[in-house]
Amino acid sequence: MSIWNRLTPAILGVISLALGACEPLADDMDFDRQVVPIFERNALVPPTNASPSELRVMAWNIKYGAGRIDFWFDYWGDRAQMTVGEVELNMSNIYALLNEYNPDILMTEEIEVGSKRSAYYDMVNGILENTRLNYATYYQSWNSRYVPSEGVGRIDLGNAIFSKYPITFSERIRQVDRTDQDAVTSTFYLHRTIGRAQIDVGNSREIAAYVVHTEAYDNDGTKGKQIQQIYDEVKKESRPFILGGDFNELPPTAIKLQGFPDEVASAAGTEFEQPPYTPQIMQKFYDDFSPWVTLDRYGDTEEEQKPFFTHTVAGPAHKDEAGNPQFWNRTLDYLFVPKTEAWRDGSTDVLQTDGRLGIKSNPLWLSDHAPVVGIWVLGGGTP
Amino acid sequence: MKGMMRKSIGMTLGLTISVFTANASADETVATVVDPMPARETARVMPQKGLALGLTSPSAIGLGHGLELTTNLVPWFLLSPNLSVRAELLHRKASGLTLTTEFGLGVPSGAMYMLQGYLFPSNTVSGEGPPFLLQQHAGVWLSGGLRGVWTVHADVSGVLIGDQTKVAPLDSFVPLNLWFGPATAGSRWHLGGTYDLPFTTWLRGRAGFHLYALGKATTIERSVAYVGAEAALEVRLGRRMRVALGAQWYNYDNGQTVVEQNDAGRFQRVNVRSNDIYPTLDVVYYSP
Repeated sequence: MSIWNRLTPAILGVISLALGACEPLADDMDFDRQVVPIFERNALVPPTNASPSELRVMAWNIKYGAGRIDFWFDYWGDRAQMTVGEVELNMSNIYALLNEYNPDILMTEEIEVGSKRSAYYDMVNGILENTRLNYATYYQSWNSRYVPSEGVGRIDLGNAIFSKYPITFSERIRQVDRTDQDAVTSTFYLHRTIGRAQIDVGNSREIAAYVVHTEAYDNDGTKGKQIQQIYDEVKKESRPFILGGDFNELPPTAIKLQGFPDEVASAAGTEFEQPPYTPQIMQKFYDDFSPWVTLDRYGDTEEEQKPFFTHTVAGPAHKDEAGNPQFWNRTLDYLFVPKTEAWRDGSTDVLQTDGRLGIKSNPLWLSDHAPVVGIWVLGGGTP
Repeated sequence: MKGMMRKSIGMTLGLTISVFTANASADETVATVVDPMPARETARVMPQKGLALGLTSPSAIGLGHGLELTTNLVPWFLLSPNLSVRAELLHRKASGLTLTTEFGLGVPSGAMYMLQGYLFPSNTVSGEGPPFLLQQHAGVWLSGGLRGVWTVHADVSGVLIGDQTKVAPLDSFVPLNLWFGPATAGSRWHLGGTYDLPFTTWLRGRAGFHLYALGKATTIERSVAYVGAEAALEVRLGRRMRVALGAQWYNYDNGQTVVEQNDAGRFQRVNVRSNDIYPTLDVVYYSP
C-alpha cells in the first residue's frame, strides 16, 4: 500500500471532522414553524392577581440596548459596537421604565442575547432578572457567526415575549425573506419570524401573544408579504390574543408619508435608504381587530397624530432643520386585540416622554422606538 | 478603495504564483535529489545567501554570522510592512540543538485601512481612519534533533507606537484574531511546539501544538486564550520547491452560546468555546 493510500482516509477524516465541527457562518433558519424554549426568572415573583380580568401590555422595540448611541447604518454616527458599560447603563434605564409601567405581558423587538455590538449581553435574561416578569421566550431572527460588514461580527438578535404568567407553549413562525439582495448579503442577513406564545392566565384560561417585526428596507414588497402573513396567522388564532410589535409601516390615515426630519441625505442610494411607505396595507388590521389607538383618535392632521408617533432614527441630541431637538416623527409600532376583546378606556398610549401615563423615565433617550401600551380587558369586547 | 484592495490581493497572488512557477520550472532540470528536505520554521537560521519564500509561511534570507531576516509576504500587499531579525545564539552540530532569538517590527495600519467596511468600521461620518500603529515582537526558538526536528517557540507581540485603545478586539476568525491581535487587543502571547519528520526524500510530515493569549477580550467574561494544533504534509516539487497541505484546529471563545436544559428542567443560555478547523496550503521556495 502506498503512502498516499495510507494517508487518504486520514485526510478525508480530517476534512469531514472540520465540516462537522465548525459552527456555520450563518443560520439560514430552514423551518416553517419551530417550538422554542421558555426561560424562567431565577426567583419567580407571584403576580398580584393570579386570575386577572385585565392585563397591562406593552410592545417595545428596544434597539438592542443601544439607547441613543448613533450607529453607522443610521448615518448619524459611526458606531459599530458598544462597550459592556454602555450596554449595562442603557439596559438599566430600560429596566427602570419597565418597572415603572410594570407590564403583565411585554413584547420586545430588536433584543439581543449574544451579539458583539451589544457586548454579548444577554438581554432576555437581563429583563427577567431585573423586572417582575417571570417567563420569557426568545424568537431568534438573526444568527450570524460573523457579519463581515463594518466589523459587526457575531449577531444573535430577535424578538421576545415576557409574561408574569406562565408561558405554556412557544413557537416561531418563519416569514418570507427579501429577494432584492445579492447572495453574500442575503446569506448574512436576518430572517424575520413571528413569535407566538400561549400564556396561562388562570381559571383555565389561555391567551396567545404575538410579537412581530417586519422588514424595514426592502424594495421588493417583502414587508407587504410579511404583514399579510401576520394578518393570516392571527386570523386563525382560536384563543384571545394580543398582537404587538414594530410593523415598519405607517397607519392607513397617516398624513406625513415621506421627508421625515431624521433622514440623512448621505443615506440616499444606500441599502439603508427608507423605501416609500405603503400605509394602506395596515387597513385590514384596523378593520378586523381593535387597535390600541383607533384611527379616530389618531386624528386627521399631523399635529393630531404627533402624540402617537413611535419612532425617530435621530435622538433629541440632534437637531432638525428648524433647530429643534429631534422628536418622534412617525408611527410604526402597534397593539391589536380581537374585537371580542377590549381596551380599558384611557389606558392606551404611546410612552413618548416622561409624564405620559405618569412615568418618570424619558423614552426618547432609551431607544429609537417608543413603547406602545394599554390595558387589555379580557373578553371585554363584542362577542 | 475596495477595488484597490482587490487589485492588491490579485497582484499578491499573481506575483507569488509567477515567482514560484518560474523557480519550479528551473528546478526540473537539476540533478536527482537524494537528501531529505530540511525542516522549516525551526530555530535554525538560513545560511548566508540562503533564501526561503513562503506563500503563507514566513520568508527568510540568511545574512551569515547566524543572522536571518524574515518577513510575511502577504501583509506587504495589504500595505502592512513587517520585518524581523533572528539571531542564532547556540548551535550544536552533533545534537542539532539550536537556540535563536527574534525581534521584529510591523505596521498593521495599512491592512486595517484596506479592510475598513469589512472588519473595521468605515467611520463615514467622522472620516477617521485606523490609527497608525507600530508593533514589535520578540521571541525565542529552541530546536533539536537531526532527522526529526523538534522546536519550541515562544514570542510576544505588542504595540510600540500608536494609540491601540481606539481599536476594539476583532472577535472574528482565528487567523484574523491572532494576526490583528496586537493591534486590536494590545498584545499577543504565544507558546508553541512542533515536530518535523522526513518520511522520504520527497515527503515530510509536521505536527504542532500552540497556545495563544490576547491582551484583552471584548468583555471580562470572555476568554483570551486560544488552543491550537496543526498537521501538514510537505511534498517536494523539485530541488527547491515544495508544497505543504494540512489543517489547523483551534479551540477558542468566539462568543458562541447554546441553550441547555438543566437538571431542574429549566432552560439557560451558556457560553461554549468554538472549535474551528481550517485547511492550510503553503507553497515554498527553499534554497539553503
